[in-house]
Amino acid sequence: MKMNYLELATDVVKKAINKGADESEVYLELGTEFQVRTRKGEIEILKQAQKRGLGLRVFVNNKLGFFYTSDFTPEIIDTQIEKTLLLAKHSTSDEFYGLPEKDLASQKKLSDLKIYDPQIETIDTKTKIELAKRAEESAFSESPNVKNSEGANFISEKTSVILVNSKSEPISYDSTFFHLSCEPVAEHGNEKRIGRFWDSKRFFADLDSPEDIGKKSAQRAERMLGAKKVRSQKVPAILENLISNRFLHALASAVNGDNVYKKSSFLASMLDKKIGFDLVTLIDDGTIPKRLGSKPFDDEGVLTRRKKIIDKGVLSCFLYDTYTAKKAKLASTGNASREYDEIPQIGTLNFYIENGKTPLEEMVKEIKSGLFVTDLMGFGINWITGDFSQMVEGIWIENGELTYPVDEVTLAGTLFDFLSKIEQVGNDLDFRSPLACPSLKIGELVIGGK
Amino acid sequence: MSDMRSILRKNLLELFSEEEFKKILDEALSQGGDFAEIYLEHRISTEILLEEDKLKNISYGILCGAGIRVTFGEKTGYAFSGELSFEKLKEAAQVASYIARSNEKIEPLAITAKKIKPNFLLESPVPLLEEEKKIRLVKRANQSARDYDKKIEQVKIEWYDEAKNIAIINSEGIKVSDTQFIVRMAVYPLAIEGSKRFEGYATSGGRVNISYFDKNPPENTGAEGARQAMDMLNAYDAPAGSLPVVVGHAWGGVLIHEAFGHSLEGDGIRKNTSLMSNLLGKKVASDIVTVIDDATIPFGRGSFNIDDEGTLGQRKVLVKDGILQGYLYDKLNAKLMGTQSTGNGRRESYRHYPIPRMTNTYIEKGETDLEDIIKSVKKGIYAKKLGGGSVDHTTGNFNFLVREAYVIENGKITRPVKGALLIGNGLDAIKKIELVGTDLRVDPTTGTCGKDKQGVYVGVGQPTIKFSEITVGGTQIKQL
Repeated sequence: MKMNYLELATDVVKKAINKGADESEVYLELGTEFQVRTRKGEIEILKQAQKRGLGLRVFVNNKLGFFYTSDFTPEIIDTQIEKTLLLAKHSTSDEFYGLPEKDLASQKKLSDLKIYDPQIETIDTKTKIELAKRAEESAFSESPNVKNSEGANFISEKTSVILVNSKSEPISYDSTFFHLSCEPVAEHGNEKRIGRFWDSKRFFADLDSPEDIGKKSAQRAERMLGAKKVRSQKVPAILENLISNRFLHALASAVNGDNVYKKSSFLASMLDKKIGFDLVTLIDDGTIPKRLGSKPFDDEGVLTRRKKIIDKGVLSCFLYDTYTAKKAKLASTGNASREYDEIPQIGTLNFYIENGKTPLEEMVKEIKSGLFVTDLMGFGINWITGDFSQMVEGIWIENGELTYPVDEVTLAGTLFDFLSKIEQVGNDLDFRSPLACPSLKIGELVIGGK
Repeated sequence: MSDMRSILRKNLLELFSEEEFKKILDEALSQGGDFAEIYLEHRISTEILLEEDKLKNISYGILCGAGIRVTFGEKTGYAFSGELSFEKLKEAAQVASYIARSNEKIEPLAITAKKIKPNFLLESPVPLLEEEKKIRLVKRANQSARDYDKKIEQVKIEWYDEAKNIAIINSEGIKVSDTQFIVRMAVYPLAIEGSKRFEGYATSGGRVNISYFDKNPPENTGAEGARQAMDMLNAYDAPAGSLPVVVGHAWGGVLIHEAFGHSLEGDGIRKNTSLMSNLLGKKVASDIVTVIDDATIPFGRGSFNIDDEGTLGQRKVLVKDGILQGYLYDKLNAKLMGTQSTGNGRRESYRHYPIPRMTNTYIEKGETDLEDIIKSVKKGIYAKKLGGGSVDHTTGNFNFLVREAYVIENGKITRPVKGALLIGNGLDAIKKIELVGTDLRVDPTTGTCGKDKQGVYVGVGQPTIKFSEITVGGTQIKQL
């Protein structure tokens, strides 16, 4: 079956060249997805499906045309190849357009990367349903306050990527994804609090146990019961490792070579400058076995690699795909990222702050009065101006101890503040997301409250 | 016209014969499910990206497929196929059927095609324009943003339009189809001065005819985005703490959408996980507050003739003079709650099962003029333009980014402030609405609401609203 798709992709690339493209490329994605949600011990949703689509990119006289389809009817694709070439004529010619240079990708390292778990073919539906049920059961048995639930989800996905272009040999790889999450609701009087905990892994056997996920989700719901607002003040804060990665999403946009080129990043002119605390080292690396952000080559076929973005507080590198690298007179860093229905853009792989040495308990102990932040919400992290403002929930720290829950407050500052006021980096780096960050102690941030 | 019309599959209902549809539904109900549905979709979209004065991307896409749903009590089985063949649909029906385990087999009712009367006419929908004309509109917006001020160093413009045919055939005998068009143009001008930078934002579009751009020329959108970037370039840091807040009209309605609307969606109500469960007929807001969800507003971004389950789009009064009147239901949650769908069953595409969602949600107009609202504030914030927001519908805690805000001192707007988030609790905040303006506008141009990893287009709106108190998340503790 897959062979046919490879033939289809190769055929489309050739036809585009025959119809007048200078260069052409097909990115084809095939996937199967399975989802079960159980709620109060019963199946609520069972979803199973196959997904497919292809994106055709053509370059004609340094102009770009793009077409995508989930309809693989040959006549539809054929007529649309011509249409794509016509679309290219309308775009602006740009000398930096084009496919990556030949021979950048090799299939050699595929097996070392361990991003495909063959077990996905054999896990039966009953087992998957049981996992979700067990997670939720564990949440219910954790506390009598857990009286309701939004359910527990098990998701498994298999994705195949086929990349064919007119310059190089075709390449392809398979990957798998497993996810188990639980969302119980703790209640006390009229008050309701939802708790969320999850794990995501490339390999089924590596998932946290459902009991553990259920238990932690219940604890996260229950510990917020009775939360109150505190007054506006400046205090030290600890960002828990589960949520500290929210800042990395904004940093990823700030070190995106395209944004840097357009000066729409607060870090645009900061290369080689000290922007953060000595203990902050930020890495982007697509080559770590089994990690969610790992892939052998990026979505244009360039080999992925390891880069230090911030090296001991010094900004040392930006992220590039082929087009933006050419503009900056650099080499692609292997960060082209896309779905089949998009043209490549710059994205991150495994993007993380290196593990530190301080245990979380130690950070808490040293704070006289401050906030242990357990959730961050909102769109307010602005990588262009470098300002941030977030709605947070957490636990108040008093004399080195966690005391009562806090909600309906904001945490605000600048991203420079954030990077330079990090005083301690936790030893609890955890890769349940491709963007990962240990717990961080920030010297001083502004809380907005009463 | 472009060739979009020729490849947009005109009548999805003609893809299969009556008998074939019946066979698919039969298969879906073969394990004893109590409801089965076929959703067919064919969508064509055009995207244009202009930045650095270059047309960097003009793309064109086709999305098509079918989703089969079977429900059995509270359970849903769902399967989809990207291939519109009888065999594939039957296969999907079989997969979905297994959610049910019952000996009682229900026969699908005889299918009767249902004609629908459109809520508004689109004689010349924008998506059917030739690409050259779309590009011209984009270029006009770019030029006007750049001409606004020489400090506007970059302008990015995103254009997206789609033409979509959908069809729904279900075991209750419904067979219905519709065509939906939408367009959105977003302008992002970046103003730079020394180390200061600010990105402005303005949008236009809706489910509109070509003539829309005569009344709303792209130049206006370009200039509005540039004005915002320039006005906010030298903004001060925002205050932190609880303050009176005036929220601007139109897109400001996103606050009611997030802080309140989500809590009224039927899934959270049925599961009793929403803070608004069991509050029907109770006072939930100030007397001056009336909230509407209306899928029939002409040209609205959240408007449709039928929802994604084939139910007619409707206008619903959710809150009347502060009293909670109703919830938003899809078919499944309505059935489980012993009521009727309100035409709010929506989905992102055939790859998703429908869930209860808002359409165009707004606060009805009130009696106080903008000027008098501003005058009534001694020390506070005028949040003229909000950005995105989100809510935890269990607690009702919400947050919004403020894109453009000013300090109000002694009834006068004084200086711009940046970077603030507005946060609070929905149930609490809606009671703190003190004044409702006369300048109601429902924003048809932008708004994509995300829930359970599905995005759907929505309209939001309100007149200018004054809250007696909202927490402002700035950095200046004692500024005011």
